[in-house]
Amino acid sequence: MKGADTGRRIEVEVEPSQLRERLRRALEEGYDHFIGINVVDYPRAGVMEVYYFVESVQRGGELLVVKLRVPRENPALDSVSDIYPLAEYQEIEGHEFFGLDFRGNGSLRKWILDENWEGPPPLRKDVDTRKFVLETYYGGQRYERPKQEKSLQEVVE
Amino acid sequence: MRKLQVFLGPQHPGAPGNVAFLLTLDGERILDVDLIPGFLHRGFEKMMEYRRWDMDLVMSARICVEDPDHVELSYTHAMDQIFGVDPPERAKYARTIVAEFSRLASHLLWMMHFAGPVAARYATSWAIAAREEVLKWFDYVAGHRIYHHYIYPGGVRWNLPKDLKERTLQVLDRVEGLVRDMERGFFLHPVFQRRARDVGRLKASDAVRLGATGPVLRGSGVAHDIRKALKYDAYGMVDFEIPKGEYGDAYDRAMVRLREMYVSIGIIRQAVQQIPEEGPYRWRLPMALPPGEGVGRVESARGEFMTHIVSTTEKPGGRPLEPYRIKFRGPTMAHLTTVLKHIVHNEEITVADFPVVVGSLDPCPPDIDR
Repeated sequence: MKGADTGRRIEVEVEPSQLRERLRRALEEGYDHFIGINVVDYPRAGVMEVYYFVESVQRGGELLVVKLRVPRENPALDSVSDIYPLAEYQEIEGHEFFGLDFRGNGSLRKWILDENWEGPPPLRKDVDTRKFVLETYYGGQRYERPKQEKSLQEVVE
Repeated sequence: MRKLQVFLGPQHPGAPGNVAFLLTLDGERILDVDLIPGFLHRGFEKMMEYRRWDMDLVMSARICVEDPDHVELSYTHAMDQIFGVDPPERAKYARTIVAEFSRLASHLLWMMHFAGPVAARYATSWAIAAREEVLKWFDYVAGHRIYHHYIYPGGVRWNLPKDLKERTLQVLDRVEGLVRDMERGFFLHPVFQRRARDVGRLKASDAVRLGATGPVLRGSGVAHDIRKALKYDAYGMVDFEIPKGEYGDAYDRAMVRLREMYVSIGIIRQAVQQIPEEGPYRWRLPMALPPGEGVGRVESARGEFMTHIVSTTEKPGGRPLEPYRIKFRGPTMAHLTTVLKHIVHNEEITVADFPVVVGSLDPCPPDIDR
């Protein structure tokens, strides 16, 4: 048991190869309610941490966090969308924003970023989205407001 | 059979806001539905990594316009854990009161959105009239009508006014009168019953499996509520029931929300009686953000809202003020993807019924793509 207040949770750390087995066991233990996936990128250490949040309705909202690390160079892990249906969409999110590859999820594609972003996965820490957007979409120019020649009083008059 | 693909939304009266749906039709019947999210592209989460933690609080409210205080509350819970503070007693009650008023305002706005597509246009203005009373109360307590920024890490931002009890009870009496009128005039009206009964059924086991939360889960008969389960803030000190439905159809979900409005009114009435008259309302926190991790889970008007904040010693901006990563989990993504697909695949939903089904799920589109 870790954390305080509404953040009380059971946290387990697993190897990427044990993920499916651990979550399948969690489902049997009564953690039937999938909450979400969070990814945290650490470019200096060269890893990404992936958190799976699962809750148990029968045990009064107890929260289980399964945490694992994948290398940043080859961020591939197994899909759990057949165990928890909602994970399918959360995995698409991890794919398009962090470039993770979930093996076995057939619907990995651009979904939220569809037709609006051609570039590196934007939520990675070493991607400077502001710089990228200025260079790619604004031709390197910052959008500036035109300088006001007259004061508001003069315009009214 | 000739299949037809049709876009519904975002510029459509039956669509809930800045999302669109790609419907696959066979005549009138919907065979499949795909959600096309809006244009926020997780910009909130990225922007927050460049900003101070107190500025992030102001941004967090923008994630769900209709129910901003619950997003702030979950952010605040996560921040409280990182700073290692337990808010003062008075602030806990104040947070509970503000959060329940936010739920009330959100449910009334939902009724406005929902009554339109079921052709009860008289009910929309009724709901907005009742919501106006709640917004005036927010203006009186927090100084703002829509986004309040009142809940703050360490407590609440301002002290509560002196005449809080009398004024709040007056507002509640007025709102309750209007909700009772709406119950007779809209919720129990036979036309509405016929329109929403047996539409969009969701079984209890499916609701849990597909990740539904809030009134959608409770409408299917699962009495699960984070307020009751975790007893955060002052919810352990007040007495309230969890309304739940029976069949899990659109009508049950609507009735759960109606009964939740009464429950919210009851919680606020108890809280204003019990709130300590004196005492601090906020602990002052240092500006520098310590390293740590926080998870804030609250029961928002639409379901479970979670904020996960990771703060490390590694600060890209060089200042110890920005959190390293913030992740929000909103209830709407599950409702409009897995739940909606399940309903459409297992039931004969026509285009005319679609706004009723979507409306009964009470979506808040910005929390899909925030």
